[in-house]
Amino acid sequence: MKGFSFLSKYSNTIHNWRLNYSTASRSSHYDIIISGGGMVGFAMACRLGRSDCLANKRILLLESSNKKQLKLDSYNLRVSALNPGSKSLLESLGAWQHIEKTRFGSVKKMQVWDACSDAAVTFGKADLSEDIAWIVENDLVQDSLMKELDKIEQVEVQYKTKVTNYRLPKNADELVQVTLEDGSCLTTDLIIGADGFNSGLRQTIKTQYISYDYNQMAVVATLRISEGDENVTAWQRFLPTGPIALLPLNNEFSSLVWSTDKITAKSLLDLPPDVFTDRINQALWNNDDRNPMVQNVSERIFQMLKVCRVNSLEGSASDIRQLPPSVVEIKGRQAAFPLGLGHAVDYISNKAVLIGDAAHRVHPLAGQGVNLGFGDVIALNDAICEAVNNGADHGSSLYLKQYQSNRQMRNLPVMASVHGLHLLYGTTWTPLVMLRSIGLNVFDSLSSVKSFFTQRASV
Amino acid sequence: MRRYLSTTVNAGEVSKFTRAAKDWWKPQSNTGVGLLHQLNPIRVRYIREQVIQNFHLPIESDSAWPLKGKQVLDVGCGGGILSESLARLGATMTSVDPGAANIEAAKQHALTDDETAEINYLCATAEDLCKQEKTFDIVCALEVVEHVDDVPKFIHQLTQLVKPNGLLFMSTINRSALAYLTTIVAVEQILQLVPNGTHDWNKYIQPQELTGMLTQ
Repeated sequence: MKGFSFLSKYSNTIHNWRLNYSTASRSSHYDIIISGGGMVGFAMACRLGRSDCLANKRILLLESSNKKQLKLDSYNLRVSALNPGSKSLLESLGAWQHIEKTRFGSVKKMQVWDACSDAAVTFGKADLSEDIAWIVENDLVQDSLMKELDKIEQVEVQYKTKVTNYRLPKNADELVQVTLEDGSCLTTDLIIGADGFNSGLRQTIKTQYISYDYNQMAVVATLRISEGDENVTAWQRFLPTGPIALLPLNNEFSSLVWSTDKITAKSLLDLPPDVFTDRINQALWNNDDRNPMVQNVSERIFQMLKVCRVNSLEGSASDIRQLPPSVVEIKGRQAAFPLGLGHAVDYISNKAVLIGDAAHRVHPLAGQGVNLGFGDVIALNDAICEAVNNGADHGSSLYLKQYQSNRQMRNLPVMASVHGLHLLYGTTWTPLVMLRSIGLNVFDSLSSVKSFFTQRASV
Repeated sequence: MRRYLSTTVNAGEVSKFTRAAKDWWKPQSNTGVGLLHQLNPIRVRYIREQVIQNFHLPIESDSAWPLKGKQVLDVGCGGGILSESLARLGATMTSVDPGAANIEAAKQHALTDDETAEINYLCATAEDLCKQEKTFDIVCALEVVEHVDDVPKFIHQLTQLVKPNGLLFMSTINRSALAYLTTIVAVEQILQLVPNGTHDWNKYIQPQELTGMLTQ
């Protein structure tokens, strides 16, 4: 009897795979399915589609909304600051050329300062000879990737397709089952979740999710700025309520990202254009939050550092402290989106993996969000390619684990730092203001340390 | 729930079968199988590089299916760890092992994936294949030599199974990556006992004396 039960267990396994393979007809089984068609989802599809070793794999991308038509009559409100690593990725995918031909803002200098003390740090070269970041509208990034994806035959995109359920395998012999809104069922050897911070796949994986609601929103708008020199500087001022940033789009316009508490954000949304513009200028120029004692001390230290010229390289941008532009008017309406911190303890499960905001969500104050997502894309593609080149299944856990360790080692310090900065700059408590102001001034004067951090944030 | 009813199978055989099957494909098990799973990526990578180089394949180093169109033999395939990897790289696989239980386990597991379902598993030895005068583009005998009684004879059989200008890969058991490298050297030394004289351990160019019977 024992023998028969063993046999039947095996026959069950055979029955199951046959069930998987026969009911999963050719047309509903894909080697890899990507759930979610944002910038990160599309980049993932392109990257996989362009990998030689995956040339014989059928890949599907599922996007719940309609295919977007890019509108260029005015600037789209959601923009991202792309670092050199992200730009390289887009170049390698052939998408950057579309962005270049259309429009983008160059950041050659960044100035970040504290409303409570005027301590500041600047990044970039004084002669503005090098690009440190690029400001691109999210819709344009997505559209450029979509154009390139259209050229890749083995990758299929299904728009207006919503996933209602994921069923992950219990062992390596089974497939992932993806149920769609219309009731149909797809199967795959690997499901990639690029479905944003409310990820359905992450909820299926049931991983522990560390989240923190900042109770803040980011107010965004397109602003016409006062004429002056070339608009190639990104400005960010830390107010006690949150940072206000101006990101250059071109010489006439900048994009506003003003993170503040929900109540202030909602009131800003209701303001008429001229009042809103005044409020922005006040936030950039007003000195009401200055702490006189801190100001005094930090000013002395600043002078001292200038004299000592600690580790200062020639032509560093911190030699010149510039003043931000003033805002002339807002173009169009302002909008807002909620902010939060999120991190999945597990990025992976059986034949399932999370990338982008589905795995990690950060405050926009350091412009890291999509850059971390693009980093995930590169790392996951590398892991999958290694699996395939080593003759393993492309959904093999061994390689997914490698992706997870690589990315967590990279993402966690960044997220901790960003969150730390948010906490540090969210207070007006004098000792902390003193600490951060002096710290910032010292940091600003140490060019070699600054370049180290710039390098780390660039890839 | 289907049941396979068979009166010729007894519980002892079945449990041996299931134990072996469970072990081969449980990389977490602590019966030495785990080591083979860990070794596998390195072996496959090496084989892949050598094949592309030696056959002068006009493809990029990371193309899909680099072994496509190649007849590959895995001698002493065990549960099929190497065979499945090579099948996924496009090889037309024939895999032999004298252990029936191993072959059964390998067959069952290979059927769970389209890409490995076509592997031709045979309960046989290299000698059996020699008798059938089969030849292959690539022959692999990894972690096998130490189980063989008459090494020179076995190696001679292997050389007969390789087509002219084909490749023969061999390796022996190891305990660490470093030992792996040193055992390649050791295997090379063993090979020097073979009268037809071989140069590097992964490439046998069949001497004219032995290839008289082969068509190519």
